Amino acid sequence: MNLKDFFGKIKTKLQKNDYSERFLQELKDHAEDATQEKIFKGNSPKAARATTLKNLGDPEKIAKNYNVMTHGGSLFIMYLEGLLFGILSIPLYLNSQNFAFLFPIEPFEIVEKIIGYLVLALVIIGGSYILYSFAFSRYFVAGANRRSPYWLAYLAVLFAPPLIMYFVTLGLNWGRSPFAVNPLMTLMYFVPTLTMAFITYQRNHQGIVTMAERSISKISKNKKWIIILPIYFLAASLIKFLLASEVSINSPLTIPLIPLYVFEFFIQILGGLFFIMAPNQLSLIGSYWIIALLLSLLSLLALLKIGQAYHQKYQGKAVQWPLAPLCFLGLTIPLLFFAPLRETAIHWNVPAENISARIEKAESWPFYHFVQYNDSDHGFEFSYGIFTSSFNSAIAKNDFIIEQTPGDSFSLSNIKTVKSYDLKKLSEESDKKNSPSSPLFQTKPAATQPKAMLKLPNHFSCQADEQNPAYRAFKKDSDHLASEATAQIAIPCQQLTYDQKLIYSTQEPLFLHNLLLSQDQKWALLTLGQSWFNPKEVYFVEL
Amino acid sequence: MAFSKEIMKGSTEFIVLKVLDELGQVYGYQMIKAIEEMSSDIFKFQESTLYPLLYRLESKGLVESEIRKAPSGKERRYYALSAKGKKILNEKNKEMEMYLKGMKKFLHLSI
Repeated sequence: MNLKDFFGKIKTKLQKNDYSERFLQELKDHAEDATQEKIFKGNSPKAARATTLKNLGDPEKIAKNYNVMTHGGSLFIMYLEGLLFGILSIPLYLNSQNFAFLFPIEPFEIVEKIIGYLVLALVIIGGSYILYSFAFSRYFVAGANRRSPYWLAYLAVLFAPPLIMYFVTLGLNWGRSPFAVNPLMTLMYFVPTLTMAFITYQRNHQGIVTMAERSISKISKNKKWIIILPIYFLAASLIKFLLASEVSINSPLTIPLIPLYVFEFFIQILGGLFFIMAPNQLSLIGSYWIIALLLSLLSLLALLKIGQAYHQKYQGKAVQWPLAPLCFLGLTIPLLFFAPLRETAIHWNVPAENISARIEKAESWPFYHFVQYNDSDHGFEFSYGIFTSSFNSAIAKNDFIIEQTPGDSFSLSNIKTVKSYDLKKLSEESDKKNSPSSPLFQTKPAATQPKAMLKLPNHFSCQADEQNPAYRAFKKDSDHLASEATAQIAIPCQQLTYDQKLIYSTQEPLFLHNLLLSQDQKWALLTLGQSWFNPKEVYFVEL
Repeated sequence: MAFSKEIMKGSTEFIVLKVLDELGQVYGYQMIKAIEEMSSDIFKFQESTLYPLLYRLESKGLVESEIRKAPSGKERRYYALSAKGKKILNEKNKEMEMYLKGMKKFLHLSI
């Protein structure tokens, strides 16, 4: 056999990985040095080459030995990861849906704290295990044969059906879903997970091919594969399917949605952290800043780790890419900076300004998107009350007061246009001290406000699609809401008109909580929300 | 003599690190020859064993490599012990000394 055939044979049998090309080159160099040494000792070049090849051995054995030395870790770890991740998340998920699941007694403050710590501990343990299993270097050393269909089939089963169902359900429920359906949320889960899966495919594929081949040819002798394969699929896929089924958007089908499951997982992380922070008197915005800074710091550390690996590769050294930091970044960067706003898709027909967004941007920049992403009726959101100067004659006409809960109060004054106005933070103490007619203490309506549906000022009217599931649910509850509510009750309002002129329209279900007119009736301040109990956005419009 | 896999498993890394410590910078062919000479031909490493082992040690940070010109004028990848590798080698050295001391008592050999 000549050198070309010898190394060609090795190359075809070698598993492709970061080292395979380097190994081939070094083996060629080795053969060259061995041949040269024999020539120096007096052998002819032909004889020297033949002896060298004979001493190197069978090319197939060389490739096999190399493959064995660089093969990945036990596939059982992959099954365990899927199982453990799914099992650990079950109590977190069930608890988020039904508090009494874990604690059937009435929760007291101390119980809430304990739950918070429990949630956090479970998440940290589960998350650490997953990060450890991906960082386990032996796990990713194996080569790959890209031609086998087994791995692609597995990926297709794992990812394609939920992805297809997500978009099918999205289409079926467009405009009617009670959730702010978000394709970017899907990307946040699928892109890093798919990237991770394909990298794993490159590294560990040979093991799966071997396993599959064994199961086909030696099925009577090696029956454990018949059991292991289904368990693998079950562990990695089905548990996630079951967990996500409860939070699927209005779907006539019961197919669950993995992206929403991941969304709930992150909410549980935040829930645990908030439970620890909130009792320690940290403000809501303060808590968000701490968590966002922590996530940013961890992302920075992950970036440094990736930078180090890239630097090593640039220097021509062998490198193991830090997959755990890569995947961590894939999730945190969109979460921190690119997660879309939770603003409702409202089409304004008049000049309008989102005052609440302006306030929150000033308070949470550069983490505004992060705050918005989590500001989602899980107890970590802001709500707003609005008041006019009509309660206090000392206040200039056409001024408004906006009260953020939890948070500060603001005055909206000196209005020229919807974009040109003064928005000033009010301090309870200073206003009490400096102004006898403090707007805060004299403009707020009394607590005995009638508990009734919002009554719109004259010439305003609201329309809503009464068949919308959110409105049907609201209508069903509205009778006992009137007797139990401690504040004004919002009304469904997908279209708002003033003197038959359209103010806004939206396809998503929307509730109008309050509407105040300036004294000159030129401006209006509205509070809107996607639920009847939480006015989350304040809009200032020109009529 | 061919040793069983189980006996060699714990020793191969130690042998490679020890050779690098003794010789400084070497490339693959030099290392295989050195292992044979230093062990009086008791240990013979296969090329398909040595190189993957070197890659593993490099990914663990125990060994560093760079491409340089060999005395023959050809470019070769030279391997050397890193500071971390030196530290690990010292620990393994102590471990191996104690291990051989214990084994000697069982073998009744005076080495």
